[in-house]
Amino acid sequence: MNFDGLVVAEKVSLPRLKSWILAATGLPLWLLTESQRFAGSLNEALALVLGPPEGKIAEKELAEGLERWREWDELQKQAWTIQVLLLMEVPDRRSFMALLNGRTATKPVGSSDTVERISLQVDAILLYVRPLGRGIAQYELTFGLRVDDSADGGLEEEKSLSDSQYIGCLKAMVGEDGAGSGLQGVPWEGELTQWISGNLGERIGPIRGVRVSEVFSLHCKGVEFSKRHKAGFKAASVRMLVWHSEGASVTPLSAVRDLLPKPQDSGQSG
Amino acid sequence: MSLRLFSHGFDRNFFPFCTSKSGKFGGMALVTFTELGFYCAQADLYIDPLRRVPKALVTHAHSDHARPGMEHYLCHTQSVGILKLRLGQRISVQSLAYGESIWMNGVEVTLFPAGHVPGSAQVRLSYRGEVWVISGDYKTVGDGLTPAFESVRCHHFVTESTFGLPIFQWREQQTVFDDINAWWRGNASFGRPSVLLGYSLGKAQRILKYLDRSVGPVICHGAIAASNTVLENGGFDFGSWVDGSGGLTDLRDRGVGTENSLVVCPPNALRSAWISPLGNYSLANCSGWMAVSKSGDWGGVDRGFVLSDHADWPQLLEAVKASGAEHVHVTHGFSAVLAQYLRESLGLDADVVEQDMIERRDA
Repeated sequence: MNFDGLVVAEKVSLPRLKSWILAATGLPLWLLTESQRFAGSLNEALALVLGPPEGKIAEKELAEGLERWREWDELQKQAWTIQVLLLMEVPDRRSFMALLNGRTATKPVGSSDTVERISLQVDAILLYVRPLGRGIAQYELTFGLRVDDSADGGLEEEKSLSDSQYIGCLKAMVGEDGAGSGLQGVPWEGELTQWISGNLGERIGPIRGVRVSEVFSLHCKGVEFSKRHKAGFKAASVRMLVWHSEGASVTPLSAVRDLLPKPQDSGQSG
Repeated sequence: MSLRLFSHGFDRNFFPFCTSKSGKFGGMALVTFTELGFYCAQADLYIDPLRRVPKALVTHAHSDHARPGMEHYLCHTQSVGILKLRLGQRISVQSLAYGESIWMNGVEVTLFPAGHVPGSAQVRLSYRGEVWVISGDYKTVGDGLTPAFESVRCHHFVTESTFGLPIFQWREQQTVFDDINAWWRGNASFGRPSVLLGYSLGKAQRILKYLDRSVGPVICHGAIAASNTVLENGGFDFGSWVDGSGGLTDLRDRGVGTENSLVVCPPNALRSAWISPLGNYSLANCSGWMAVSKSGDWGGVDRGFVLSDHADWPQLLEAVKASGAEHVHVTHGFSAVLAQYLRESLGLDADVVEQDMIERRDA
């Protein structure tokens, strides 16, 4: 649903919404608290405990209801709010409750109807490493894609700064669960660790450059458009598949950008 | 109900699941909760035991219920093939049909449909008028694949609680499959393969049954293909599918296009080289955990579909009420929360049974 242009006459606090939804569902407060603990937010828990949508509501109907808001007493406001929430999908409920709460009614991050992600396989070159831990050779790896002629002006800055034809954009998965070395799970872990140790370059803060020569096939999951990343996209996780011999070609950045689903007008920036 | 003495060619003198109707009951509870799992001392029978025991009744063939190493297994008829596939052809196994009874030292043991996955069963134990039902994993809403859950009246009901929070309330199955087919159709229109994650027993077959084959071919990972074959031999029908156990490159060589295909594979296949030939694809996960948005990002999937083979909150409450049980024992999941709700809101005598059965990833 699109909530643009809807005006709320009175801010409805989250505790007030909570009391309305508790009354409508008959759930005890402690059970909602347990649900909130697992869901991670009160907003999401409230949206979920109402169950699957019982129908659909037109945006026009919503606007009309909000216009009449001041004419209603507390019970009417409560009844109307619960009624429209029951007719919405869960992400829309979250947005609508945020709107009532006086915040911008943007879709929640991760909502599948606003952010489309894909999985990709690319050939990328190893640019930097970040040593992890002490006394043990573990690294988080940063890979780059080739900046080709079709790259836009925003990338020219990066090109001139690093004097390189690559832009670092993919960080190797730091373990499947976010811990450990970026080299875990590959059969040539020891060999690569040894190669990195022998080819470390300049130090830039916690990052060490390496000789720019090694190309890897990477599998990237959850790749989506992003305005906040210089490459124009971000990846949820990256896993190394193959270590190519020197001289293998690197995937151009534009190829990835062309594959990315066009972002919808969701009002979110990242 | 009939008395079944032996099956699968076992000698009745050898096999343990066939005894007389007589027996003694020393006044203790019919079922106790031990370190090894649920135990019926009168029948000397463990249900879904955690470690090696002489006689194990398994409610279904998922690995957190059917563990290897038992001397003798008892299960539903539809689980035999899968059990042998997973635990080895040489296991000693006896089966029962739904509603069929076996007597073990005076205890009547009967299996009823649990609706979780093919071959899943609730266990009814009856002795001198006292009835226990151990549900195993279940869902009360039919999925068109497995026999629908059957409510069984009892005095003691042991229920799972994997999704025992009110935030878990499933949509109708058809709505979810409409979304899955639309997602697949969208990917196929861009020439992008779709990869759908689902566990190899139950979830994968449920997915296969409702896919729209007009979009493209459906390819199954080897682990799923093996389960499919066993279940199809047992009379199940999931529609057409292509066996991908020889590798995806091999399929291309055989002329099976992957551009508009939907690949069904278990989550661990993503960590193997099997998936690599697919190149760029869209990845989705089918699980009840996808209901919560923080879970939607688990594993970095591109899309999450809320589809579970477990009971959601309303189904759990419905099952407990329908059992008519005065005593409810809650295990496997949000057990403390559900038990407290049953005590405080429904006035039931409910307690928590802690077991080392936290492998909830098959949800």
